[in-house]
Amino acid sequence: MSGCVQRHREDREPVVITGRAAVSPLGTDVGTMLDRLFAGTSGVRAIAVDERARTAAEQFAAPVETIPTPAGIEPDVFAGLDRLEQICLAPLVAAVADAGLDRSAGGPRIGLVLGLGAEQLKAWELDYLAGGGRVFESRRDATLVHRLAGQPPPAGRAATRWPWDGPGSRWAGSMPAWQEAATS
Amino acid sequence: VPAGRLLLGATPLGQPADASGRLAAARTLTQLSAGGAVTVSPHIVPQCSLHSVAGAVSVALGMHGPHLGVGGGPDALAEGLFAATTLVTGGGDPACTAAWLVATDWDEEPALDADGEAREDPVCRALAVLLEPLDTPDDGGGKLAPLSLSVRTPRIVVHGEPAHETSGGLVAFARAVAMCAEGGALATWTVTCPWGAEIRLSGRQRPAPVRLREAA
Repeated sequence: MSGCVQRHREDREPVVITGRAAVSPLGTDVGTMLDRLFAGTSGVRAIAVDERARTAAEQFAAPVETIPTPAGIEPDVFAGLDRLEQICLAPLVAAVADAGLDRSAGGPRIGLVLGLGAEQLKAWELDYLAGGGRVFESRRDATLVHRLAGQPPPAGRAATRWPWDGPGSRWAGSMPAWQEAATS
Repeated sequence: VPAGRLLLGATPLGQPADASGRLAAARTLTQLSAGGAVTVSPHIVPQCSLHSVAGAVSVALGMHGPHLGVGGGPDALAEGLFAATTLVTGGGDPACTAAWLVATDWDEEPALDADGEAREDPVCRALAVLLEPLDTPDDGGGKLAPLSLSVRTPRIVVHGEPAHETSGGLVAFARAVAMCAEGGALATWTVTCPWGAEIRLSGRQRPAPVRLREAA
């Protein structure tokens, strides 16, 4: 089955990076992370078995100790998000600030592409280990992009998400096929 | 499409990750609790994540372009259509002259028992569509394609609630493709992204026969 899509742009516009941010085991800002990276510092360390590990074999990890609360979001609201939401939202907000985009005046429309391949697998695992049964339920959960993307807050509550107003989607690539493409 | 120019944008839409991934994840978690870590297959992440179907398709067919898994949620069809059109019209590799869109969906989301096995016999459908760009937006570039896709973005974007329907999206799309291609009463079909963009499928002149192949 084949079809055509309408090409709207003949000239391909350049893409540049205007804002950066990071939340990583090496630091929660780009400068710190790069300094430690170039100094050869490793984020992997031995952890207490009862700290994060679920089995005795999981005694080493690269944990993110703290996730900074993004500017413009109330700390108690941020604390109420699950950890995956926090670790995505914090650098996203910081990167937009780093780019100098003024959202208060309207500004350009901003989209969001989240590169995350195993979101649901991790969410189901954490829920199951906490005694839940979401993985057995016959339903489709909204992806993280949609949970982050400015859904209407409950009545009487302030918006808890940063309002993206452009396209939002979750994409994931596969390394074996990229390798195949590179070596062909 | 000449093999040397073929670039792949295989976009397995959400449900491969959510569904086959959910079945496998449920079995793995029950096995883990019963038998420990040695019962966990090393294939669970590479074969059941969002990217896995696109990667498998591209390797199996020996394709040479970018490939992505897109979606993973209720709006996967709209997201996949948008991503596929972006691949061949908006950016990326200029040599990307075509993209396969591979969409999958369950008829009904499977219900699982305590062992992670499906209680019934769920039906998963798949649809593959080859997309190529028109040379110009107006005259069709001389191509007589039976179908065309276009994206209309809204002036003001308000993110809505994601779709919650549990079936029908892919079936409706497949029927629309067939009906538009046949030049019947249905000339257009649209799907709306959660951020407001409208993706329109339109039948074009000189309809060509379209063969649908369905597997359960």
